[in-house]
Amino acid sequence: MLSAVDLSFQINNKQLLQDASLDVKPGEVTVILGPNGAGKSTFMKLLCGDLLSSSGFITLDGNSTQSLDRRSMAQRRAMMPQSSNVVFPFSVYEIVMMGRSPYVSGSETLHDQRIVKTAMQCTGVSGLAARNYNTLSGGEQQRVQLARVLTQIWSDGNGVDEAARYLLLDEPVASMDLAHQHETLRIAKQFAQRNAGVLVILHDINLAAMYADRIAIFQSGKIVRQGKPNDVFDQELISKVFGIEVLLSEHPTLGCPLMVSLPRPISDSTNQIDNYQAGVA
Amino acid sequence: MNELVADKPQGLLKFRSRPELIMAGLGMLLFATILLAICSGAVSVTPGQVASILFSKLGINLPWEYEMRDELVVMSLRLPRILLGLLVGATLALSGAALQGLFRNPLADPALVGVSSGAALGAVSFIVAGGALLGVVPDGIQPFLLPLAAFGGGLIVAMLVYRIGVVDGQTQVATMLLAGIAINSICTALIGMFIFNSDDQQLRDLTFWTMGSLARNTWAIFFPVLPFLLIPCIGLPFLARAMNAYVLGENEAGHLGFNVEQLKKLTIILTSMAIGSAVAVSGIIAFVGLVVPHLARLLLGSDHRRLLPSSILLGSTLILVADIISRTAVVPAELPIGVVTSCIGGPFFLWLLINKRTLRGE
Repeated sequence: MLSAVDLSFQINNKQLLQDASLDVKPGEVTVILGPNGAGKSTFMKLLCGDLLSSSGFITLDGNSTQSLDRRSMAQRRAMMPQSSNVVFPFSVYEIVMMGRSPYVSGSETLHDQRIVKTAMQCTGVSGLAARNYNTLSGGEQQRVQLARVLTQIWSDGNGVDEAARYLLLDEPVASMDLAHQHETLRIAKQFAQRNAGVLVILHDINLAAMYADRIAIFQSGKIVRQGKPNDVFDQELISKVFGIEVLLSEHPTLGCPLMVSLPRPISDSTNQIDNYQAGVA
Repeated sequence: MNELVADKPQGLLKFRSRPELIMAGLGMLLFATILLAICSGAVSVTPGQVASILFSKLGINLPWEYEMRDELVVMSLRLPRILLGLLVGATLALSGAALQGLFRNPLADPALVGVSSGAALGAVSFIVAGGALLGVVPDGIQPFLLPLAAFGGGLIVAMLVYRIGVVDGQTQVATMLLAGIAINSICTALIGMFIFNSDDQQLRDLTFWTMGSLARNTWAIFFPVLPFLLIPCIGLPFLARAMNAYVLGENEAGHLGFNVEQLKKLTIILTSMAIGSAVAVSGIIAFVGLVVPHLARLLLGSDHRRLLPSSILLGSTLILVADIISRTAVVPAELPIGVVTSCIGGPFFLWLLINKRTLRGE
């Protein structure tokens, strides 16, 4: 289990995260929801080691992650960034193969090549293998990056007697079309079932409701609620956290919660554009 | 985008599936260039005679006959010059490739980061102001003073750039690149000031450092700098896999299990060692560090495990070709090699920019 215990992070006297505790359990997809600036990405950066917490700690199976060496950490924890800019012309195949770095010394084996091929089929980028990564669209690049992080913690066995692996995805579906959004989360869910813990930051509450085993809601640097989708989805809470009226209903076929947002009227007294124009006139 | 069409490798990409063939081709090209470099010049020597001369040192007699003069030219003039040229070209191109990777910027180049001009400034200040030292120092050390001054200048700039670039223990590559550019222009200005204040003989010497030349190389210079040129050539290729991951981003390389801080430090130390000593023996030779890595990427792709060795081979070849031209174009005088590399490299680089979309990372 990958656990955050009372994590806090502050920079320049600004508290970005305060006492956040969360367990990422193998076999589950945990989704982080919250408005912009709520500390979601900061939390994930702490979990993947990009930032060091001001207080609190992170454990992997009960051991502090700081006591583990980089390479064995990399074999168990992979992180997919929001976007990745590659300056030089690398082929898609080469990018995905970099996921095997923690296992390779020298050149890649047939075993590595097989994993890369499977992961690329899995995320539907096999046809792009020889393409220059920089020529791809944003959504295609995200699918390539997904294939790369999958190969990094790929397991051949059924996962029963192996150490669990952890996949951290920071807004993985941000540039994807609707079908690929579902496809990506389906892959994440499948991957979780092979003894992996998946943590995903999402903006779409309904996608979260469909795929999450557990949900944590962030607001102003704190986790304000966590639990199963049915337990955390509370019309009043969501309205308060996101600052917009919502209606809670039920998905017509899946039975999971379904959220519909209710926009404010286009013209009202708090509309800045109207106020500005009124002021100018 | 049509995925069926996209599956076919286009243009040069299809050759990349046989990297070992290209690498062997580059090796043979280098060998042929070395042979041509030994044989051509004011005194021409045949390849057979060269073989005879070299093997006679091992006590083996080959049938090709040669004169004493030929042996002198080959052993004392051309061989040290070619071997040094080889190493200088290799280290410049290799450092260029490594710095481009480190700065994640296709424009990074030993000259741009300021190390080259720092080394040149060290040499220039010694030529103009170091005369007083010559009386004090024992004769045996005197030939080393100028290269040492260049090496020291390069090292000081590298350390300065590195110091400025490290904020709160984190290396900030963008800051380092900008610091390098600023220090580069300071060094260039100071060199200009020395040139303004120098007499005719000094001016001729100064041209050597600012435009580059392999003409002064002898065995006496070769052996002292040999380790400083060889260590980076051997060390940097070991960092290739980490450099690949680093292309994805600093954090991403860390997630893949690489020690990013160590990678940055080692790259800085090894490249400044390479560039400092290269400038110390041959002055600033422009464009090799910038053009060769791009050329190598076109031939073999961006994977540093192939990019670094192929840059070594291509860099050596390019320097030797440029040196042959500089020796033979205006006999009995010599063109500065930096003039030749810029004349070939500049237009060639423009042609690449205009014609090869892969170079621009598109």
